[in-house]
Amino acid sequence: MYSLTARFNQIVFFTSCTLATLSLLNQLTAWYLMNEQPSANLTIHSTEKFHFIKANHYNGGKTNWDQASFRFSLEADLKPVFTWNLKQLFLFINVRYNAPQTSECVIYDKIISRPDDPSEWEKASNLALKNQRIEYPLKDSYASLKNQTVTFEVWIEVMPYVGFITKQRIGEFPYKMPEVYS
Amino acid sequence: MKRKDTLWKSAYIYFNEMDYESQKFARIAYKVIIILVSIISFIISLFLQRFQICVYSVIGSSIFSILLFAPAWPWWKRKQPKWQPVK
Repeated sequence: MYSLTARFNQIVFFTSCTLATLSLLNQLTAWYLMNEQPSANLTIHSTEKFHFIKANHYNGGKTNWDQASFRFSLEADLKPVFTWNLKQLFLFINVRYNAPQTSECVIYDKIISRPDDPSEWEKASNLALKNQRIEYPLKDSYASLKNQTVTFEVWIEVMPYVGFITKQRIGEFPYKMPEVYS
Repeated sequence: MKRKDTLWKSAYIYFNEMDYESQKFARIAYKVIIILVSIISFIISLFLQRFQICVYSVIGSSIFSILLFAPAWPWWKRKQPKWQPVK
């Protein structure tokens, strides 16, 4: 406290220490007081464009794959995750099946960012997608998608302002693929 | 022979020297101001659910205390110690 630079230095470092503890408190009050879990409901309306693709110009005709596309509706209640610590949510739909090996494939993703004003959180957190097409088609290199039982999983990746990035699964829906290519 | 100081250097010397009593006061006062402002703004922003209020008010209070306590203004120079006369 004996010179100008000493006082300036002490005050600046003290504010950065308080900001660090406030961020830590911010993270603790946001995540560890959560009681409910978010939930989602996914219904598949139809399977369209279920083909066997024979790509003769790749690899001498040895590379072939199955391809499927879907139409779905998704309703999700994301209100418990919408705290003041949240920056963005990354929601994606994962398909898992047990063909020759356990395979997973992401077929749809969406970024949901949190608006600043707390009165707009209701609208942004109740997700309602109706009769949407998927973004990336489901491809299987072993051509074993006929008559396969497949589970659709809805995942959420939570990106906070302060803290670790975490993933959690909020729904699991089994489905049976059709028997014939269309 | 003492060289005439430039404007910046004499300004720095003027703002540098502060009383011992006011140094003791400033050492406690800036911490009290910043901690009080941070607690109150954290509770207010917890109700309104916006973290920007908290961060901006803590930074604002730190700038206020830098302007008030860091340079040696004339009111921090009042209680000079009584030096013994030169023998």
